Amino acid sequence: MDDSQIIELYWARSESAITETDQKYGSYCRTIAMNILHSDEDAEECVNDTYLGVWNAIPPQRPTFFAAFIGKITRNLSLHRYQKNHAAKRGGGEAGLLLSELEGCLPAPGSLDETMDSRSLGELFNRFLEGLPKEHRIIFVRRYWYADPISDIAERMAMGQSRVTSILFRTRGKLQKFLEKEGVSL
Amino acid sequence: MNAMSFLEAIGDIREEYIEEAAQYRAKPQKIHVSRWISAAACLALLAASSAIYLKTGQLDTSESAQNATGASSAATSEASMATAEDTPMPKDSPDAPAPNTALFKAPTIQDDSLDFDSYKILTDPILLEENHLVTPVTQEMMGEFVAATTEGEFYAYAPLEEIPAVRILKTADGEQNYVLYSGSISTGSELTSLYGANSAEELAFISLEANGQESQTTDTTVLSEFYTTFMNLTSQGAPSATEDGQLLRIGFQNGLTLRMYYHSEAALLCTESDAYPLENSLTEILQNLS
Repeated sequence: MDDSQIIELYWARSESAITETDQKYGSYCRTIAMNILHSDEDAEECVNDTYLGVWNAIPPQRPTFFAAFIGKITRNLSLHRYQKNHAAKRGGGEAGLLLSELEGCLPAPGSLDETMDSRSLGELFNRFLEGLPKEHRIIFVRRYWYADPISDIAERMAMGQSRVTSILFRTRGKLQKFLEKEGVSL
Repeated sequence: MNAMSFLEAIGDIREEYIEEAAQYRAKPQKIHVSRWISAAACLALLAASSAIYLKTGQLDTSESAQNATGASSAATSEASMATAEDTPMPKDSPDAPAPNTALFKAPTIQDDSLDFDSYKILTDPILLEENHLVTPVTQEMMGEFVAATTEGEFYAYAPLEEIPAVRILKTADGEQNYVLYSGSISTGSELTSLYGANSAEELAFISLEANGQESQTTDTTVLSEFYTTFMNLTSQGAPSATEDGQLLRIGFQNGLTLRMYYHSEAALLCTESDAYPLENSLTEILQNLS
C-alpha cells in the first residue's frame, strides 16, 4: 500500500491504518529505535508509542514524506527514552557515542545564542547540510539522525570504515566553524 | 547548549534529507572482467615463452613467434596498464616513475603483527585532546574484542575500529583506558597504515615545534610530497639520541596525531622505538617548515 493510501486510512480513522503502517514501516522504526536504545523491549515500546503519536497527529497533518514523518516521531521518543535510561544508568546503544562525537563540535561558549531553540538550530543545520556534498550529507544524516553504526554506513556507502570516520570527523569540524560563524552574525 | 540538544535539533532537519539518506545505497564497484582476461592472456604467453626457453635454451625469434607476440601485445599492454594501477613499481628501478601517492597503497598493519606489550596507557590530557579522545571511556566506545594479554583485554576503539594505533584496554579491576601503540614499526608506510592512512589524502596537517613555537602546514601539495617520501623511511633500530629534537606532529583526517622527533643534525626522525634516517627531500620539507 502506498503512503498516500495509508494517510487516507488515518484521515478515515480506520484502525487498519496502524496495521498497514506496522507492515510497511515497523522494521524501519525498530531499527531507528534500536540504534539509539540498544534494547528490544525499549525499542518495541517506542515503536508502539510512535503509532499512537502518528494516530494523534493525522489528521490534521498530511505529511509529504511519510517515512521521514514517522521516523522523526520514533527518533524523538527514543532520544527521550535514552535520556531517561541514562539518568537511571541503564542501556547502551549508539546514542552515547553520538553524544561524545557531537560534544567535540559544540561551538565555543558565547559564539552562539545559548537560548536558541531546537527549531532555529534545526534551520541552521539545514543550511549547513545544504552546503555539503551529497555523499557527506548522507553520511552525516545516517550517523546523527538514523544513529547508524559506522560499519552499517560503510556498507551502505560502499567504502571503508576509516573513510567514513574521516568524513564524519571533517564534517563535524566544518559544522563547528559554521555554527560559530552563524552565531556571531545573528 | 549541550550535545543532547544538538542531537535533538538534528531531528528538525528537512524531510527531503531524511528521505535522501533512506533511499541512497552506493552501487558496488564493477569488476572489470576484460582486464582479468587480458592479464590471464599475458600470463599464459609468459608461461609459454618460459617453456620454449627452457626447452630450446633461447627465445624463438622466427616470424611465427613474432606474429604470436604481436597478436597478444594489445592484451599485454592493457594488462600491464591494469596491473600498474594496482601494484607499485619497484622503487629501486631506474626507469620507475615516482609513485603516484593517490594510487599507492601501503601494506595494512594487522593486529597479529603488533606487540601488545608495546601499547601504553594514555592519560596525558594534552595527548588525549590531540587525538580527539573523549574521557572517560564508556562502554559504547568499546568496539570488537581484539586480544587478551596479562595486562588485560584489548578492544578496538569503536569510532576507529579498524585503526590499530589506538585501542581500549580493560584491566582485571574493570578500569578502561585508551592505549596508544608505541612499539617498533619497520617502515614509514607501515607507520601511516598503523594510523589508518593509506594515501596522502588521509593527512590533515604536519607541524613542527621548536622553542615553544609551532609552524604548521595543511597545504595539500606539501602533504603529498611529505607522504611520498615518508613512506620510504626505514627504521635503523632503536633511537640512541637522548635529547629531544623538534616535535613533529603528523595529523590525520581521522583525528589522530602521530608524534615524532626531528633531529636535524643527525637527519633522523624518531619515535620512542625507532630511528628513521631521512632522505634529502624530506629534510628539505621539514627545514622549510621550520
